[in-house]
Amino acid sequence: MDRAVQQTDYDAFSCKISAIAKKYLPCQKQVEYCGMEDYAALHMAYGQGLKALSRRAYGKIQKAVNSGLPLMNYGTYLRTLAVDVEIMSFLKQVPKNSKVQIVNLGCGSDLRMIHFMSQYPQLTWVDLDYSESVSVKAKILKSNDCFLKTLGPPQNTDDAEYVSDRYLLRSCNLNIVENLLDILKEFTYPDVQTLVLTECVLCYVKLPQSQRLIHEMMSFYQTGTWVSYDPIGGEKKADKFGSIMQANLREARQLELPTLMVFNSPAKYSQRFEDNSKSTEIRTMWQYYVQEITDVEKNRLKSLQFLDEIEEVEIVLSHYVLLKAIW
Amino acid sequence: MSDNKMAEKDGRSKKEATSSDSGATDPNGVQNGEDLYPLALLMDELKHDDIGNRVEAMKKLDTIAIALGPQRARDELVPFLTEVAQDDEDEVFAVLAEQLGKFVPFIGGSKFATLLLPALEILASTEETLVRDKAVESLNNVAQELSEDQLFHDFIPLIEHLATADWFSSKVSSCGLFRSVLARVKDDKFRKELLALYLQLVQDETPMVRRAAGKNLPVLIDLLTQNPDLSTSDDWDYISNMFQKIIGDTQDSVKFLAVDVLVSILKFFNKKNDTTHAKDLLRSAIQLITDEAWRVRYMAAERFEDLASQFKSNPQYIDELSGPFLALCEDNESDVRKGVAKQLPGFSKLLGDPQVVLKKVLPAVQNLSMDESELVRASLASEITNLAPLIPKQDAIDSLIPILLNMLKDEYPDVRLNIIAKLKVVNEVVGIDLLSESLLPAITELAKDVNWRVRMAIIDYIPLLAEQLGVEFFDQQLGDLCLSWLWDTVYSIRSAAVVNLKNLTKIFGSDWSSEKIISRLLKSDSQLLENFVYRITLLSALTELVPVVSAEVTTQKILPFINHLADDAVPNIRFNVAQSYVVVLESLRADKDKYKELINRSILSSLEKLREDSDIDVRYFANRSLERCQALLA
Amino acid sequence: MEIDNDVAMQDVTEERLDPTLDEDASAELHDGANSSEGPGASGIADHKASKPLQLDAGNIGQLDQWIEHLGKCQVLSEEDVARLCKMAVDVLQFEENVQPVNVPVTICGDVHGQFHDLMELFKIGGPCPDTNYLFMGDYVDRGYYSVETVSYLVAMKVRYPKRITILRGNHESRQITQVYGFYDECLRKYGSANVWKMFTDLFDYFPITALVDNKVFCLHGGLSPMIETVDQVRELNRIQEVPHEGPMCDLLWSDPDDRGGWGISPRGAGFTFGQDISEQFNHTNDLSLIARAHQLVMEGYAWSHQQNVVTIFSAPNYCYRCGNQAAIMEFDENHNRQFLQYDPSMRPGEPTVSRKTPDYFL
Repeated sequence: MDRAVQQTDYDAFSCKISAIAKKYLPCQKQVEYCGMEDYAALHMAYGQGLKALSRRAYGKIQKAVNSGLPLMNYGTYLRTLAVDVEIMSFLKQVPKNSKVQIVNLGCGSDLRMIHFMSQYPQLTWVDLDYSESVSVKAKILKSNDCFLKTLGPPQNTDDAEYVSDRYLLRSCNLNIVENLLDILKEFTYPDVQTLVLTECVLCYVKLPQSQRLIHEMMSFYQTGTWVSYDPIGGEKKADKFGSIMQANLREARQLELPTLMVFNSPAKYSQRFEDNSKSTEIRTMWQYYVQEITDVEKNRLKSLQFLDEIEEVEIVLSHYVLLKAIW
Repeated sequence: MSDNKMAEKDGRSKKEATSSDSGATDPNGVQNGEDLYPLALLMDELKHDDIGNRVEAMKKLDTIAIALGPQRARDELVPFLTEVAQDDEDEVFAVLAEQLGKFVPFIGGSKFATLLLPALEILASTEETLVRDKAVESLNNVAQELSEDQLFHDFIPLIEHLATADWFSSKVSSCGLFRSVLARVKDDKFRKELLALYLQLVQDETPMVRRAAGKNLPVLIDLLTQNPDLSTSDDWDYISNMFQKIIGDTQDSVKFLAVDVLVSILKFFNKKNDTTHAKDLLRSAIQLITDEAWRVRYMAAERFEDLASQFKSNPQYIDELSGPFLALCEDNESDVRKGVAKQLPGFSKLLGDPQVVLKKVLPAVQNLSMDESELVRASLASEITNLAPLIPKQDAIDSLIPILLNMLKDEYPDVRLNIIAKLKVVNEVVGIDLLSESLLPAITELAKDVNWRVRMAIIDYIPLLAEQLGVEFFDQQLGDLCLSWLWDTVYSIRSAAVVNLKNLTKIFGSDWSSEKIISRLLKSDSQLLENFVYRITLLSALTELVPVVSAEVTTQKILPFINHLADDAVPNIRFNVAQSYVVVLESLRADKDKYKELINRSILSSLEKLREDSDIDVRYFANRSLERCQALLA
Repeated sequence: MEIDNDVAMQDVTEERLDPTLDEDASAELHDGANSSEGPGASGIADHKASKPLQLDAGNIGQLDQWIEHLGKCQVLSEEDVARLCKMAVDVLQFEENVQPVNVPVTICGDVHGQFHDLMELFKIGGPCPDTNYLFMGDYVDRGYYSVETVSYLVAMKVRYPKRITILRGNHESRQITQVYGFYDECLRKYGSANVWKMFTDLFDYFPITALVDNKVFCLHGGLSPMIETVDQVRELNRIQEVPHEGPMCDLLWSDPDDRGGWGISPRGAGFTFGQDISEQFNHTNDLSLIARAHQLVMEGYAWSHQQNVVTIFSAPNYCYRCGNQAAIMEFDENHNRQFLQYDPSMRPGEPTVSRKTPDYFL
């Protein structure tokens, strides 16, 4: 099961590369509001690094790029943009020169830290994931100057992780909260403003473990913001999306989504965080598309690929949520 | 396509066969060049960016090997494939692994079979389960071809190598290979070494390896059972040790495999008529049945009859099992109850004494029939009627029948269907009359189910029921229903309804059909017949009945109706009429002299007319039917 | 042996830059589809007949054999596809832009390569030719069996031209099939783009609308601001790739909408049209109904514009993910309508290694 979850890392990265290849990403807002530079080049460089390490992973990415359907590109675009914007808004409200921390749980091949660390020198970033993803990522990051110059020179000689003054990439099993907290105690401060990011992570964790994870993290940091992106099963009786998704992924990928049908609506998903939070906001990615994407931008997206699947986009995106909880 | 380049790479000189596509077929081609072409082509394709091309190329491996001949397949192709096995994607590996299992004939026979092992060994170590499984299967295929010598020198070292590798995937694969060698190793010491190695796998630190070892162990034990004189008591010490390890495993997903291992062990000792371990093994069985992990109990429940029947020589042991068995029937986990619900008749048979069955089993049946889980009830329904012959008739009537009647009213269609499907055995014991009162509402309900496949399933049972219920009862209670299916909105139901009428006619006879079916069909509401679907269904029903009713019924009732539709406004009706005529003629053929006039007047002349129809398909089918009719009359 | 290709990732992604609305740009998409081999390159229409194909015992036998083969979800050989497409050109080129269709007929929507569900459709509606069928386009893309599906329907069309009508959908297009799967499926199943070229060349000949008993106007998408009468559809030159704009494009791309008048479509092409437009069109042309497909509707069919327009969608659990029902509409001699809904067929195990899961964000 852990292995099956681990494999999903390449799905996310493939989708991102596809969206970049088709010019969905980077979009104007990422560049102007989030200050992201060299977006495509950094991701391509990472892809090249991956190719040198694993033909298997590279083959998967190449395949995804070649067959990237508009629906997947839309979803990837929205998910990426939405999370980027949340992180940026968080960073912008931090007083200048005060320390700030971001913990990305289940980071996979995500390269966001490069963009944000280069803009915020007082930002410390922690990337955690399964050991195999982490060791591949560490090797790639260490092999290319375009990553090294932002992350800072790696201190240790351990190939399987990356530790610098401001950046930590280490393996960690998120099912075991104690191990997670040990790492965070060593590398972060409980009294510094912290953003915790979980992108398609909580959905793979069993119910009690996931609730403990949320609770312990919110207790450990005195103040913080949690940004979480996940699928939800849908709560209407006639809505079969969730059960079909569970069956499909179980059959083809040996992936289990233990809480998909438990936190099956935005309200229920949001409740997981409410006990400890000052405020929570949640919306589906379809709502995000309707509410946040300007007509000009919608037209730009339409010009990239014919979107013949608009009803399907609505169905799929209505089953993914973006949550922000502040405590 | 650059076979030119490939030729250079191979360091061969050739010129003719290089002009791309024509290479292989160039009549002037130099022998060497022609031979080289397939391999160059394969290499080229296997470098293709698109994985689809690489997969396709792999699928043609056998053709290429044949083209190359055994010598070059050995010298060039196999080493090349061994390289490929180290660097490609799973899709390609899967095909390669499968192909290599069939490769022995292409490389010159079993003498050279071991050349295939290195590539397969690599593939057996990959992470992708499917590739590994295919590689293991192919390795076992190749092993069949190997001599004892080759087994010892090449195959067993390969197993050892995989079994002691660092990575779990190799070890998992090794577990599937022991079956090819264990029974062929006649040397006791050597076989003991193999079992010692297997014991290590059973105790591996990775659960996946332990699981694979546990899963494959019954097969190995069965091999020893098939060769009862082969194994020594030392061997059995090992196996007993393995069993203890599995039954004591910390992971449920390993421990539950102990059930099948235990069954295999019991079969061995039963074959040897050795009862010295029976008591211990009974303890183990009870331990598994009462294990705290539900998955283990589930497995014990699923296999209960098989497991218990291994103890049947000793009634006292069976009796000892009845307590744990009944506990499973009341298990907290619905999956466990679902598993055990199917075992009730089987275990009751082992219990033997009808009074015990009545006293102990029947209350459990009663409870399970009202289980909160529909899956448990459906599982119970699929076997429970087999309990009827195991208890005295009166008790069956008093105790079992009420349960069945209740289940026929279950809200879940599968429960009702499963009972109806297995009613035959009840009928044989107590007769079906007792059930009929509840049976009817159950059938009517199922006949109206929103899921058409449920409706379909009940139609399938109708002929069986008709036979058991008799014509009178059928006419009173089921006749209307059978006709109503003809007007279902779903084509497949209408079609099944038509076949059903034919089957009923076979049971109740032509006269019955004429009176109860055909006459009623012909009286169908004229408003109904305004709809094309009704007309074509009616035509199809009457045509289907032709072969099973008398010539008289056909000529007097069915044929006039067919004729009547010959000038229907809808062409689809007309070309079906054309086809129906052949069926009619086929059944009249025996008496063709008697019906000569009728055949000419209505069938042939009508077909002649349809040949001139304005619609092309009507003309086609009329022509075809006319040809067939003429052939039949000739 | 160096098997790994040395194409840089940048090159790969740029080479497969997506089709845009610009036809010239898309012409360079794939090796097989480059500019020297544009529409018509497959050669299936090189020797068109001057009158409709006449079936004889020989080609009927051939067709029946293909249909039996395809019915088992097995593809034809490339050579047979070429033969089939040539025959189909000589059937379809003589059909009209507004193909007249008689009652009774069963009207169906998108199928999208879900072959087993198409077989389920025939189990529900009855086999062809006993039942007459009108399919409103989108046979290919998305599902795993586009080749089998479109081959089967085209073979049926050639064998029983009067019993089955197959309209063109917006996916019966060179550009769309390169994005949504048919192109890749042809490459995978045949090793080259030839079959894709043949079918996409054939798609140009598909009729774009049908008129059932002069009362029900059937088409894939919807109305066009440039079309007021059915006669105007008859005047279009349909034998071409689906254009990016204009009346033919709109007929294949537009959607009905709750808002009145014409609106901008959320898709890449076509328009949205309101109830006022539908009512006017039906009134002008003395129609009782516009039947169209194109949109996923959860119940398999959906009325809109106060029963002036009906949407029919015949791919259950679309893309093996959406959980929707499918439906077909029986339209009898007396113009009664009956909708039949159905669920996915039991799918036999998909080919294994090439893990064909529908996409999710993971």
